[in-house]
Amino acid sequence: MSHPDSPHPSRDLSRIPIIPLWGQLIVPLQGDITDAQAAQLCSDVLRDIQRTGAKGMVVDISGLWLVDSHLCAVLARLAASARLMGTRTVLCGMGADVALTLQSMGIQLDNVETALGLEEGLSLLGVRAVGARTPEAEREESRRLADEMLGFVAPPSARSTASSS
Amino acid sequence: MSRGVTSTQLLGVLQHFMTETAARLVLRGTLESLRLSADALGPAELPRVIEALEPASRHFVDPARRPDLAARLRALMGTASVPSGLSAREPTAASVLPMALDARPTTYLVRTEADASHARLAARALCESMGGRGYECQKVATAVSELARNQISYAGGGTIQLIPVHAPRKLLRVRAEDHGRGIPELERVLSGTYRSKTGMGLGLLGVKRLSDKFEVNTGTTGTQVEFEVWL
Repeated sequence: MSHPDSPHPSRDLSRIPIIPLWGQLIVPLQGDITDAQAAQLCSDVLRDIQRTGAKGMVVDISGLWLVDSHLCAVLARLAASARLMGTRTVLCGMGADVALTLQSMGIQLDNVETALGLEEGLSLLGVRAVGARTPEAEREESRRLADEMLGFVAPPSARSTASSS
Repeated sequence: MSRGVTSTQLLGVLQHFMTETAARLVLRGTLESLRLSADALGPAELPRVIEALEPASRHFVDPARRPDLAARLRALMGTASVPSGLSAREPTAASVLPMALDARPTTYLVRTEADASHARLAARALCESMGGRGYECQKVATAVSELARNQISYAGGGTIQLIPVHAPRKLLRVRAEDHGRGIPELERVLSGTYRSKTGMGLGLLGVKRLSDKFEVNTGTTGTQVEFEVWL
């Protein structure tokens, strides 16, 4: 999104992208989010909700290495404001260590729905993938890979070369 | 003897990111496909192996942690290329080196958000160099972040000291000091009945819950918080 009226073009570099996708908004967070960026994000997201009429929003935090109580408060506030505008918020991509840490601290993101990854987040919002690989297929694939490595099943290509030698 | 060392090191790194079984599987699968054997693996083959480990470990490692894994594997290349006159002690030498550098307490001045960010990164790096697991490093970094944030917003800044301790038990002690006006209603903050206007009022309580030992002194001339996370 371009903002030709922005007085500080350099500030746009630090702006967190908001991606409209199939009637939803996707907000990927990564690195260190400063307070200024967080404040900017909140107003940007709410403006985009109003503009696009998005019914749902997925906030992907897989790129954050640290989530503290302040960032949680920001996310909770963002979700609550979006809720007031009729938009559901799904938080996805939380790593195991981050989840354990937040749980130990007693932080509950009560009003925010959560999902494992972006795909699960979008499907929670009612986006259905057609002809795409489902999480089940992915899991099946990794199980097969593990079997291959254990030597239970020979990889298809290796089998053919082995029989020819 | 020193030959098997490299694969042990690889396994050690992989185990930080997945279960031991998965790590063994990934390593074995990778070595087999490269037609290498675990005990004939030398520094010369390492770049190849590390390159092949990346796709092989993909299914077992959370996307967010993949860059971290790649960095640690590359770090092995650095240590393994050291002339191997060190004989069988190589793996310990490699892990002792950063520890020796970081063994002294380090103090970080916290005035701005960037300082806080720097302090928590340093806390995690120190914890990792001491051999802390992911969750422990995460606890330390998060707690440091909470304290730094409190110092900035309530005391106009402060200092955070990271103290690595190796004996009698391995732990990371963090001492945060400021000269602000202190924490009013400390009891309410620590009992969880306090809600701050901006955050969730969980900063200090969160630190207490994350740490294995926690102490706070506060008065009108300043606040000192000290906590330990056992590794």
